[in-house]
Amino acid sequence: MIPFPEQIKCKYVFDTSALIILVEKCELQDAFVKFANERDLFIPTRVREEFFAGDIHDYYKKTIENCFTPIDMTLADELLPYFNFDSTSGEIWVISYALKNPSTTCVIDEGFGRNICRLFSINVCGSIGIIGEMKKAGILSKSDLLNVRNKVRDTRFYLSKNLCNELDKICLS
Amino acid sequence: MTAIADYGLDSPARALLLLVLSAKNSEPMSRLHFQKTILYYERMQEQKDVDFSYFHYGGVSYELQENLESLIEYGLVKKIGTKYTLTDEGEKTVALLREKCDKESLRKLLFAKQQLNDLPDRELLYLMYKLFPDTQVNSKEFENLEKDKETIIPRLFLKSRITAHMASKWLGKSEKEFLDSLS
Repeated sequence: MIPFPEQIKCKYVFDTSALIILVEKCELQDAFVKFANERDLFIPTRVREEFFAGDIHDYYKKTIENCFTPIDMTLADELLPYFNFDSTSGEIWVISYALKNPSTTCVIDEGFGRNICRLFSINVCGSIGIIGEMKKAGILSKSDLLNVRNKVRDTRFYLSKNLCNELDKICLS
Repeated sequence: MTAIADYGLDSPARALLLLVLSAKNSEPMSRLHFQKTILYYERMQEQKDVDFSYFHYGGVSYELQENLESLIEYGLVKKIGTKYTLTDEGEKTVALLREKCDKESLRKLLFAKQQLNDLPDRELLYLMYKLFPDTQVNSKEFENLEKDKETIIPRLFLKSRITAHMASKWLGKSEKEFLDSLS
């Protein structure tokens, strides 16, 4: 008998602004614990530093420590010209990791980083895409989703109109 | 003789002009836009195959302008309104050039055109001045644009041309402050 192939775990590597929306603004701590059971969630050291640099509550820091694997990595030099030879932004590290690990999906909300992912044919989704995955996996209930939608809408943190519409589609359907 | 030799396309300026006009589904380009796109590409490649001078509007290349006129004479490029585009012969010729180019160079050229070609002149100039500060030398325009940076920088971010990291640095704000200011 042919053995049933082991399910391949989805791999995600997160940028700072997506973490701020999902962990800090939407407070999806419990959901992330469940989400991380079935998936590999990574953050580059640079992103971790960026996230921890702000005035972050210990509660959110714990989620990062418990659910995300920090990755200390070398930069993909071919990306530098696209970032004006500046390696200080989180995105360049996120995309570097995905470039070296092609089965990984980048979680980036900003259009610039997403454009670079498309240019290099790297899988990319945003924080709203992760909320959609959590819904599909049955991790977020209808009332959780409504709650998330209201939190994102109330937050002063920037999300484009398209992303807000996408969020409505996921949370209200 | 090949078309490449016939048209003198071993000259980097001519080859780059045809390649940049063919990038992004051969989207037409204004003179300002193709000049700046080729400058952007050269900076990404860290090469100086084309000669640029720096005046009121930043980097401009007379070499590119002269070679563009030759390509028009050869019937490879045509002008429609204020924009330049490839002719059918130009499209055929550029296909030969693209075969000779490495994938990474074509990707950078596409990126440079995606970054600049649909930007209004003021946003285009400001982005170039900020990305390549040495091009501000002799510029009268930069000071005027700088007065308007609170409007131009958020627009460049919303059009996905710069990261929040870059935008906040240029505005002298924290990244959080900058993103909050957009909503």
